[in-house]
Amino acid sequence: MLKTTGIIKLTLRENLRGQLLWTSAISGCVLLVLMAVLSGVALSHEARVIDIISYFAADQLLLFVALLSGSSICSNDFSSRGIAELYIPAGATRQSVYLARLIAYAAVLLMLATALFALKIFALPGFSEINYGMNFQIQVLMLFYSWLKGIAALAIAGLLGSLVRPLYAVLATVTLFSFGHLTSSLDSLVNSGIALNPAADLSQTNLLLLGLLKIWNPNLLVLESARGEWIFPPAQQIAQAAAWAICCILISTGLAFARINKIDLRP
Amino acid sequence: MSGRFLTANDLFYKWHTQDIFDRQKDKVLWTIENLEINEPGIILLAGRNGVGKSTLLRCLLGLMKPTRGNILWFGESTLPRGRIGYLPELPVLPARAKVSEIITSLLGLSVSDFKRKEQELPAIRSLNISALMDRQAQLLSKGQQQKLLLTLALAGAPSGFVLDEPFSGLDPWARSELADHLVQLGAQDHFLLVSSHDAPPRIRKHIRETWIIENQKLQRIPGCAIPE
Repeated sequence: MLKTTGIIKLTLRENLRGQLLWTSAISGCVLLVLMAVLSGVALSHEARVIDIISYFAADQLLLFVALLSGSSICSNDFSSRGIAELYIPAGATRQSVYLARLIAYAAVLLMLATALFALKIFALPGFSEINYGMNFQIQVLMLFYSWLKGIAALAIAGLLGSLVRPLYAVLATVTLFSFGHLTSSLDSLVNSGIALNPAADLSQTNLLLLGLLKIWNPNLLVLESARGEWIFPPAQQIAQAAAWAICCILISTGLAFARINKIDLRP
Repeated sequence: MSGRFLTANDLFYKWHTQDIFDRQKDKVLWTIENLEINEPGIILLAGRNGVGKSTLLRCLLGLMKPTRGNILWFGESTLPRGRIGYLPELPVLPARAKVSEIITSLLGLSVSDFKRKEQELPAIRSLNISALMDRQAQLLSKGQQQKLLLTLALAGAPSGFVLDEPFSGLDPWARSELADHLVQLGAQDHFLLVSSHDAPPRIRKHIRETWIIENQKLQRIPGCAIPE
């Protein structure tokens, strides 16, 4: 009888022997080392900028892998001649195939996130400066959050991949996440505007809109706060961001489950 | 009347074509009033290219959805776990996985347990998949991939098999071996629904019924009813 764990194992092996994971890991390591070297020879204020860019670059690399993997789950397995054709007649449900693949890709993302984190924290101790004195527990929490954000991207790309072709799914997910980043920048701009001109007033509608934008991307709140000062206690902010990521994962997976029964496995 | 293995009523499949001006047209692939598999044995599904044989098999297995119709396997509306062995026309196997890994992961057996099972079941033993255990599945020849898929299907001890073009691309020796396996299975209380353009002579005399799709309808004819 077909086991769901069997599909997870096979997907893990497929990834561990594939090029995407290793190319991403090596690219990430090279990027971090190069940035560390640059940071070492730069002036102090430049070094800070380079560190921040490095931090984001590693985060974005993880996101990129998540987007590519997520968008291919549905498109390769269900919308075209894929390995679901092997699993489904053997007795696996479409949902279990999807979930097994999602779990295996999440595990791969965890490996990649942990490898880059370990390199940043242990092999390149200069990077810990970016965290402005954060303790190790908070750094581990941020790794956990970064991983959750990757799975959220994976799940959203998976859902979109069940609706459109993989390339469009990647583009749509990138748009969603870019929107989150832009809204966060807008929020920072508004805050600095208010700081410069305390008399400035924002309408209730604008405040409401800004609040809604913040709900979309609290992950940036965590990073923005880490860069400057924490608005709330760090653990609380990370927990808030994690709750957001978990909501995204659950909603996307639920919608993909509903959608997946309608996909024809076309020859 | 309901079939012991399969009952399908009022099956209808239409698909959309789209021209460069985005105008959609519906094209009816087939309309099938009634299908039943009541007895073990071999049923041949035949018809010209593009009449919808693979689509029918995929609809029966739940891989595609017919536009309309009811399909019951063993009296149930969902495909019972592991009771049907399926051999797709173009086998797709997990990337970069060894044969042993596919067998152990999908069957939930260790290699030694599988080898024990192989000794107990002559049909599996004759496929001799143990000789390929260390090979990467995607790099096997088509005949070897079909043997692997047939082994997976057999090891699940199903009641029947749905085989889509099992003979295409096989060498004459593999074709005759596969034909022997199928005849044996048909004689062992299994049903086999086989779509094929080129069923080998040694299987033809064992075909219980031929389903021919022609002019968007399915005809059921006793015995083998395709030209040599």
